[in-house]
Amino acid sequence: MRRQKIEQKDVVIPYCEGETEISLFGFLKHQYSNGRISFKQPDDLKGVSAFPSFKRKYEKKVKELNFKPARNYEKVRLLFIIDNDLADSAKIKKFLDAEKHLVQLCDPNTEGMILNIIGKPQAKTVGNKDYRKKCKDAFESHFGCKAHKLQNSLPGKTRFVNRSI
Amino acid sequence: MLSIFKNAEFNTNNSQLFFASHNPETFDLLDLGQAYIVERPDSYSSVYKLSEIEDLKKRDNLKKKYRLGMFGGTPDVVDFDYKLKQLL
Repeated sequence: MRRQKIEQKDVVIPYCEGETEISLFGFLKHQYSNGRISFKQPDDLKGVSAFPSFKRKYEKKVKELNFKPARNYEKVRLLFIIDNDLADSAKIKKFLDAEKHLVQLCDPNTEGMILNIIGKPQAKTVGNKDYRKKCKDAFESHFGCKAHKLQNSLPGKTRFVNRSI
Repeated sequence: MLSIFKNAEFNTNNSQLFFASHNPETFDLLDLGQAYIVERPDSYSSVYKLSEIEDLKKRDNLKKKYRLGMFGGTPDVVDFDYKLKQLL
């Protein structure tokens, strides 16, 4: 009997804003991945600020991937994990949506999202003009380190090994 | 060694070679029907030839697609030991 053809697998390549988002991605994947989608090691964008600098980083990353011909890599999706409270978050999301990538904006920001996960949500108070700073301060107070140092501050092997594609 | 086995002048008895490798460079020397992917997604292992994969051509960049995980047979590459979980 002739065997049924096997489909090429769906692959997601995560691009994280920084170390904090890599920590969050690792945790969420560990908790919720059903194994049907193959995730590559997350790549670190080493910070995202204004849209023009993000776009430059994006174009460099896409060029490195060199997915040609594009139809051969339709099963590969790029996932961008970025804070929701950056000045250009909405603009970046609109751009990535138009490019047909996956986007996860961390609301309000990654520190705030991690604090939500561990049951320490930071209430948005009236008059709190710097909610971003509030989340970062609360994170540092709870974990004893800045968010991007979280992996390094704990014992044991915590780093991703980046492999070239 | 693969080249020697594929060369009829050397391999006069038409011997076959079975080997396991994690090195995708070997795809360059094999036909789609000669390379098998083995993966263990759960409590069982599955084995299939590259020629059984849909829409795959010899001219495709097999090494790149393999490294991306499009064929399976690659480990769960997120080898992060989830320190965050320890803190919850």
